[in-house]
Amino acid sequence: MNTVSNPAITWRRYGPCGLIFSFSDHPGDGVFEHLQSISRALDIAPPEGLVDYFRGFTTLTLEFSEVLPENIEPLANELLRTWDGATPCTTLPRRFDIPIIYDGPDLSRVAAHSGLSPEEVCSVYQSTTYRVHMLGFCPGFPYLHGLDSRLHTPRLDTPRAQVAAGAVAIGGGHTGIYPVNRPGGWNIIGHTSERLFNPENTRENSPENAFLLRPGDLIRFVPHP
Amino acid sequence: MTPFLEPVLRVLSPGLGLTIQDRGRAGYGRFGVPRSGAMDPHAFSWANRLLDNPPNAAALEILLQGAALEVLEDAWIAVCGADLECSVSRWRTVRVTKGTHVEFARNRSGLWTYLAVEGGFTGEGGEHFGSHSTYPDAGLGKKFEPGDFVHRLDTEEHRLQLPPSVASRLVPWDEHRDYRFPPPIRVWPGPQWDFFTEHDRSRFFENDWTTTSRSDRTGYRLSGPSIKPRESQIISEAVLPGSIQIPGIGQPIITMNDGPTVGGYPKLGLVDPADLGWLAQARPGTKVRFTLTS
Repeated sequence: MNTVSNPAITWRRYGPCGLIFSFSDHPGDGVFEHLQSISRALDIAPPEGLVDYFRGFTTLTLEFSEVLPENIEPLANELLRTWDGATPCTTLPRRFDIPIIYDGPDLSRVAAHSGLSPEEVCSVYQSTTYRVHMLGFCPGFPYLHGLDSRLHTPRLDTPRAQVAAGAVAIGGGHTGIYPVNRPGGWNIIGHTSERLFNPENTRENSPENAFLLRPGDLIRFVPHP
Repeated sequence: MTPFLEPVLRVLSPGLGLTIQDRGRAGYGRFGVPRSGAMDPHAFSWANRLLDNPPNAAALEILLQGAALEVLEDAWIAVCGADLECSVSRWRTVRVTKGTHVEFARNRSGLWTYLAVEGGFTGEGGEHFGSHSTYPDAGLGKKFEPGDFVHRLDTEEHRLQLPPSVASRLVPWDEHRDYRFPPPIRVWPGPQWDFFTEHDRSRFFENDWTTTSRSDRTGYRLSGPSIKPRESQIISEAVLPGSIQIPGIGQPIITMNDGPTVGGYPKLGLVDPADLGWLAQARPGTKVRFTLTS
């Protein structure tokens, strides 16, 4: 498929040096696979002047070292053409069992919102295999896709000033795990003892070693023995 | 190769906040690692320029007031940034001698002050992800406590050499900034520009905004007229430093250097990186105005 002519793909300038591409209106496996292959292309052969890039569920944001020309059309089209040939990721996904203790302060809120009992919430929550769609927000925070629609719960009106590392939480239609202490507005249903971010592991020029998870990984939550 | 580290300062008091910052760690956005780095690149860069340091040499970043340091070894330093009572002259090179105390007392305007040393400081534990910048929440360096030593990179080639007849070096007067009165801050349209009515966009640019005390290295919250996005949540996507996020309550949160890399609030605009330092220096209660880049 020629993505250059794909009307679902749009792009916008994001400040002097930024460019944000949107590949779909909805998160899902199709757009995820597309973003996986483009990310791989960016890692292997970054376009000239690229200083950073960011994953979203449906978007990819590129930041360049120089101010982009006023007309970004040619650059956007050239990038899309390059990515057309990006090969899909064929490696088998890694699988992780994450131990969880359901002791979060918002478990009852999620239960009330879903109409389920707290026990049913836990049972529904751990019956799903989740896929890491991206890391973002804070170092190593995995955005997990696949949450049962019954457990979709709006974020808190007022974010907590501090959420402890290890908190397992639901924000809207997604779930995730806080790798470090951060302010946060997601509903905390439990916590894990698993360490998701270990900055001591960055020394040998491979920053990815500091992060337990990466996009594509499959996660199951298992009750802590 | 680990460069030899020399303790050059001892922290007597960290005051309201004392960290090491350089130009930050770009390149790890896809892992969720924030940029960090000096909140006011203008003052930070001048402190390094005065000392002929590499542009990315790490400096001490001092929040407001109260910090006190003891000099452990004779050195050239430079202090640039917020307007405050300081025991050494600001915006110029200063030769400090062993035993001197450098103290940052009553702040008059601005928030962030930079103290640079010849060759640059080094963060606790050296570099993390290619930067000395402290990001204590994730264990990348730590906040200083009383009694801590501050080390510098001891590289002989970065010793300041002033010509024999020159006693000091100054930042030109027109480069000193009056942080009480920031100029209109330039803004680029954000990815969700279309989420806002023409009317709300005009109100954003035509009204004064006031910086609030709910501001830190993560984000600055402003108060002013209520601006409502068409939808209060978007599918989570990148948030660059300087992004003007408008949550449902209608008051902007501007993402700063330690802010989240991904978020779900609509973004009306992006502060031009060249002007973000002006906003960073705006103490709570400062009036700021925004102007659309043309």
